[in-house]
Amino acid sequence: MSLLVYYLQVTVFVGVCLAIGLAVFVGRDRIRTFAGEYRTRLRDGVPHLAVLGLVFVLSMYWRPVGGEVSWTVGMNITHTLYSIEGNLVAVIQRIATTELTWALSIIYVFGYVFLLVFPLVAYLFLEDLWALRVTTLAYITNYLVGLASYTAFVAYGPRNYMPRDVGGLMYEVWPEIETLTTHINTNTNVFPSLHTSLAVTVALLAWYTRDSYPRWFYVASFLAVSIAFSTMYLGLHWGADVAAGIALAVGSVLLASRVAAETSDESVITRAGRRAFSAADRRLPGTRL
Amino acid sequence: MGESRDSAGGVRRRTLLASAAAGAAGLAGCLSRFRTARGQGSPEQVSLDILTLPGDENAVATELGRTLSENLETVGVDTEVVLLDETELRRQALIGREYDLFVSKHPDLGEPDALRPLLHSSFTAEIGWQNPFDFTNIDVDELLAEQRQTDGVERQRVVTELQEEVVRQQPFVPVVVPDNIRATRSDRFGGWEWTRRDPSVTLMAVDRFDEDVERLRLVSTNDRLTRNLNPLAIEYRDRGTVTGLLYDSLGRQYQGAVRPWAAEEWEFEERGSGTVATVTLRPDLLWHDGEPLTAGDVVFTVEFLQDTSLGELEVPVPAPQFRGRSSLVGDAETLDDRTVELTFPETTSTVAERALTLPILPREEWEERSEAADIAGIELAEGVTDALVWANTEPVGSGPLVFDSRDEGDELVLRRFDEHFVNAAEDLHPELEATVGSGIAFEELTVTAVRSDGAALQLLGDDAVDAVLTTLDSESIPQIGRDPTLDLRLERSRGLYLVGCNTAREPLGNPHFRRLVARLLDKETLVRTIFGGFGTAAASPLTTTEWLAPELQWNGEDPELPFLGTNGRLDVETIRDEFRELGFEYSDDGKLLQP
Repeated sequence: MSLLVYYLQVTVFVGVCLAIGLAVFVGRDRIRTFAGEYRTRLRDGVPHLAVLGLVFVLSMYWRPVGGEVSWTVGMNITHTLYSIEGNLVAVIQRIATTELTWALSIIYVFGYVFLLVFPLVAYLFLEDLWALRVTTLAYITNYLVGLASYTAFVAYGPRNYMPRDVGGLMYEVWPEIETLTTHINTNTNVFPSLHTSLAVTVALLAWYTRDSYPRWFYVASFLAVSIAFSTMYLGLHWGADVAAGIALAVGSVLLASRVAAETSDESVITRAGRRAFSAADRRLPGTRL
Repeated sequence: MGESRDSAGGVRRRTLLASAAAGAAGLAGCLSRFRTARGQGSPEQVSLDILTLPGDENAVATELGRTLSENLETVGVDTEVVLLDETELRRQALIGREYDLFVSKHPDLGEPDALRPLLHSSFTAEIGWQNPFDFTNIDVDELLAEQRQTDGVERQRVVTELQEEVVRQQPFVPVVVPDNIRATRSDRFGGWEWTRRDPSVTLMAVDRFDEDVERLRLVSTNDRLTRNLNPLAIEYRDRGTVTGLLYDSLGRQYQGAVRPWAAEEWEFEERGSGTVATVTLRPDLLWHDGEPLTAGDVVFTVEFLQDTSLGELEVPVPAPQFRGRSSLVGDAETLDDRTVELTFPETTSTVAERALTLPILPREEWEERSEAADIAGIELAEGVTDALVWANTEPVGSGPLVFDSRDEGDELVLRRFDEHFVNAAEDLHPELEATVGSGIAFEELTVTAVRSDGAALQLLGDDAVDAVLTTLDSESIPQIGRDPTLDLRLERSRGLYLVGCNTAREPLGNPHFRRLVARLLDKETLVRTIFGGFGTAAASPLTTTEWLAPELQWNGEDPELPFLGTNGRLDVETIRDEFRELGFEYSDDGKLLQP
């Protein structure tokens, strides 16, 4: 029940932000152009989003299984992570104030979802869908590497390793949100920080597309840095998780930008999508895209 | 660009070839030296894994584990703190015995006989809290048997001697008896007496202030009870309170003793060196599905708890939670539909009484659970039956509350079982009537599951629940204190935080080494720093019972194994000398080496 309320809150918040984002970053001209050719854009763009969605759904199914596998064969590296950096997170938390905790908690939960969803929408409005293809591919890479790592390693975050020195600050000011976060992830999946890696991925991609969306680059960078910092500040992740997350982001963006097809015609996913759409077309005329 | 890369490679290749030629002879000599060194077995640093729970599950255990780790590191032992969730910790420490040291809370050491399954050598092969230390000692075995056969002053003497011997041997290090910290509201319900030995009775005995209030709302930080209602489940914490409402037992702890509950009465008589109990059931006992509860169910349950495979597997598979009590019974027989005869060899009635608090299970439901546990036809492990791993999500008991519904991970709902003798409030003997009055004061009981103490207290503060079922961390005390609508309840628990030693692994097989490990913990300081002052430093496993040996009374420091240092700070030089005296050596850089 309450869980549904949180999902609804997130959806509404992200919806409003998306609308504002479209107005501010995408602009009227691109929206008008898009309105003219939305059929081809959606036809060529949606298949990539569908693949991303599929990976996302599969990963949801894998997580509980992966958790069990992880306990069976995974390496417990919590102590190692602590040995690397010691009390870093405890030191970071010395600057904690209630206001900052609230701000970073909201960015961590809501800002993060917006940061990830916005490029998927905004890049549909670019004439060239290359950025969209790279984005979905980079997200998928992040996800798969993240899941593999969560399966290979059992690692608890700093608040679980040193509960008297590091507080779960977000849960202290906002205990209800724990229902949502634990529904999405378990507390043994901290290495690497996927919050960090995906956020940094978006920022790096925003740099690629800075000519088209100059203002978005600044906002995305600000959010990415805040999110990476918040994961440590809130006691959820080790510095090492964040470092690994940044490395994963760089790796996935480099890989995706090399691998992604240069044009829509070359893209396997786009072509498969076009075939699917035209097949649907023949069967159901009138829903032509 | 391409060219320079090639030439660099060329240079590297040439250098490599040259050095390889020159080094071949050197390498042979080096390998030979390596073999000699290995043959002599260069001494390795003592290395110990410390298993404990993560902060989310038990911050006190986490911090105890870390403190122990830091102190061992300070004196040159290589350690690793391994955080495991409760299920995994039990699996590795209490079932698989894959550990060196573990930090955990033993749930109940309120009675000397509780030490028997924990330490007697005959339990080393069993799972759960049955001798997880692999500890074997003839003197301790004899004393454990003796306390079961003696009474009064004689038993007191035996139990004293037993404690002294156990503390001398230190198969585990008793650390601190925590206070149970609870929070309740008293605007809708009153009479919260958490000091009762049986917390289920506490819930049965609350009074409502308003006739219109129908629901007692509780919150728990343990969502397992929304997933698993099996009273025999291996991996479970605080299971007793809720399953104790669903299942009856012949007797229960109330008004200061084990007194008749589902039994109308019982009689003990000495027979040979043992005791025989003749127990008469109350008339008209019913299971929640309407079937009558008979003497046959009682006998079945006793035999089932002793061996959940019912003789099908080669080795008996007892229910670990109830092992201590079920092992007291030698034989169980029905005399008629309402009468059971239980035989307790080599046992006095004082100790035998404990077995009467075992839950009663319906034969109909559980008999078929005696098969070896498997997943899709593959046997999980030897010696585990379905009965121990089954989730029992629609429990059929006979207790005063009946299962209503559950929402996995979120909520559990029970409702009053009107046919139960307590709720019908007929023919209750005076002590029982004084305890539960005219039956349970609510129609429905809800338990909401949340993740943290903070979330639980928020629900309590918002008047969304009436009490927190689980005990709270001392860090939440200020929050409870600040809210005038909340009542803080503190009581000494019967649990004990301890450091378990795997005595089957070196160097922990050496009692002198274990005693030194014990002396690295400043229990008095730990009570202050980790327990926020809400606990009692323990030298004996029976610290908060009336059985505590006078010599083991805390007197500002541990009377047997005082801390080697002051105010939590270790006296490293003294400790090194102590280790050297045991035959250990130190490397030049301060590592403790295996002898």
